[in-house]
Amino acid sequence: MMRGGMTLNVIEIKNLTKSYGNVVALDQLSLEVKEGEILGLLGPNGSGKSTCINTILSLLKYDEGSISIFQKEMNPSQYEIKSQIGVVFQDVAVFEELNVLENIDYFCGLYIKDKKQRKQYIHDAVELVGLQEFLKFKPKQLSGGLLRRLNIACGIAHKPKLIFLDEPTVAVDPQSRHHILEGIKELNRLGATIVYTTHYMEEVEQLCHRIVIIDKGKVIASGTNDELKNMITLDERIGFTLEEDNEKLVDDLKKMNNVIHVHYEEKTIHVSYQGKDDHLKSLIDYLSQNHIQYHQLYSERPTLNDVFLELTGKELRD
Amino acid sequence: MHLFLYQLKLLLRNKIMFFWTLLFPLVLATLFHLAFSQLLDSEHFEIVDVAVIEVNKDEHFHTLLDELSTGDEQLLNVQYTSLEEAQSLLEDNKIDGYLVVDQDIEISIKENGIPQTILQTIVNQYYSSQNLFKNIYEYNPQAIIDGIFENLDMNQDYFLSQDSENTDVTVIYFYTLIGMNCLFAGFSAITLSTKMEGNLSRQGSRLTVSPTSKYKTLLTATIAVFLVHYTKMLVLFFYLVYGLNVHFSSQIPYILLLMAVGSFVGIEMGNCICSLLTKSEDTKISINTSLTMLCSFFAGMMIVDMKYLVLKYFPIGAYINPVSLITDAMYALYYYTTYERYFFNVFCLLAIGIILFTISIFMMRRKQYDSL
Ligand SMILES: Nc1ncnc2c1ncn2[C@@H]1O[C@H](COP(=O)(O)OP(=O)(O)OP(=O)(O)O)[C@@H](O)[C@H]1O
Ligand SMILES: [Mg+2]
Repeated sequence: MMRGGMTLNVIEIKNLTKSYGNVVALDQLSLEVKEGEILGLLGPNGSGKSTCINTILSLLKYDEGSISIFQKEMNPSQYEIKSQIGVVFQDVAVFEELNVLENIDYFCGLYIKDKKQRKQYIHDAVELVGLQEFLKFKPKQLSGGLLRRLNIACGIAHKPKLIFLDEPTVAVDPQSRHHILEGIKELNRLGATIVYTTHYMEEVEQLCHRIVIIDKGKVIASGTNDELKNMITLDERIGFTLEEDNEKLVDDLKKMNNVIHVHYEEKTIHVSYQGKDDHLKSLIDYLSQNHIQYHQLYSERPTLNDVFLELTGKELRD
Repeated sequence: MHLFLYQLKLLLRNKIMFFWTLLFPLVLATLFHLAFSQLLDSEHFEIVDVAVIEVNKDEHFHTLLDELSTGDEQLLNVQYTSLEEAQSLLEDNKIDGYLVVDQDIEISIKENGIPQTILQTIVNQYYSSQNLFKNIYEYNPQAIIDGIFENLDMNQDYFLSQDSENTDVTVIYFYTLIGMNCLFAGFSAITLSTKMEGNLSRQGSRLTVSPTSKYKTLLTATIAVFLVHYTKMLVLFFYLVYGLNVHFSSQIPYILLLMAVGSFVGIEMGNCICSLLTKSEDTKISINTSLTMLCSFFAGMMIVDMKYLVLKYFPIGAYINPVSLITDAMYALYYYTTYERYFFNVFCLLAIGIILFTISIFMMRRKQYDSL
């Protein structure tokens, strides 16, 4: 839905503040989610991601600020809004007493009253997360990854327009994770707006159209993957291994144009460059001119961790 | 309806809850039953050691004693002695008492107890039938023996309840058990609420973010718990009546109504604990357990006299204690022919239930949480 060329904001949060006793979990946080996008909420442990989602959902009280969803102010009895939302909480939320099918049916039935339609929706959800063979299993009998998939199915079976996923892939093996991420992309293709929190930057880079980085309850940066990376001075990192020790080379590199930092350890050198330029070519030229033998040359663009590191002075993950 | 059906399903599949609210009371009832029947058996058939001093021999009484000293129904172990011997035997506790047979029959005993009561019953029965036999000139000791046993049977309850105003104590235990089990409905209510409450379980969070009203959730949950619990109560009740032959009075419909009201109070107690406290499920269960046990204790579950002490020193306590009210209502059914006292108790229970229900509805209005 477009209005005057601008994409509609599905969620608008302004100056949201929430504290647990003395702990300030959200600090004047403002955020927008645009229709049809996958927004990544990236932040280290304890940065306030879950708190943010739970306040948006009106589960938690907050001290200050405003939250609107679908252009309406959100509160606990906004059933109209709630019926369009799907949530996958960080912790698995299924009933031990019910099997896979019953769990999905129970949660889906809170939204979809029509039995026939529900049956179809459940079928689609099961397909999406790939649990067809486990319909009669009790949650106890499922592995961690399968349980996560069930958790997701329970949250999205009613085909909501807006989906919150709070670290749905924690402690999931790469194969299950891949399956889950593909499922999320599929939901988005089908029209859902998605808010995805994680502290895995790879997932965010792979999945999200736009990324909001938060730390200590504040938004410290937001934009697309490229926008974020252009925001910082680091442009490229090149690493290679020398045949023999060469302290002089390290010193020379440090004096070169655009080089921010040189890391040297056991014959391996990492050079960090700033500014847009063909850093790799000039380095290779330099090395061959000086007849320096090397191998295992590689180059990488900055990661979101570098973005985080530069903006906060600490690593995204410990 | 969808929510309700799943609430039923969750309740029925909770194995721990099934144990505490169904198997446990059944086991307890069986244990009560075994304990009481043993108690009654042993006291009924205990053989009384007695010395008899025949100053004037009474043939009829002699045969009666002989009859009572033999066979399956042996009640006495008789030795004929002199007065001095009998006195010293009694002094050394070798015998329970002695009889001096002269013009009258005189009983001498050292202490009061069941054997002494049996001796008294025998002598009384003999006296009362004596006139009869003199008239018809036919002596039939078996008739007297039957009379004695009939008398003892009638007094059997008396033996057990000498300290508590001549009422059948064993039935009170079963009443209290039913009362306690009514309150156990609170457990099911708490476990179910926990699964429905947003800050207590993740499943509850999911329900809270869905477009489902909290009042609807509470209402369907209450009905679901009630149905499941009432069914369990019926099982217990029919086990007591047909399995253990506990003699409740014939007013079964009244008892069934009482159990329904009692279960309602139990459920509302659980709901109330749930909505008043933001503690974990375990804490709430423990609070409910303590409360139930406390109520049962004051209603006389552990010590029968407690019930009477409460009535004496803190009468209000009996009116706000659901277990007391339930046991008292059943008691009223058993002993009175009018239903005033019964309905008064039922009314008190209903009032308590409605007050608790109102409190939990009121507390429900808090819809957002400070923390999860
Ligand atoms: N119930 C609570 N009581 C007190 N403090 C809390 C509570 N829940 C969260 N916090 C605090 O609020 C801050 C934000 O927590 P939150 O769970 O939102 O972080 P998060 O970004 O989701 O972390 P994670 O990646 O570990 O899930 C943390 O400092 C945490 O210690
Ligand atoms: Mg979290």
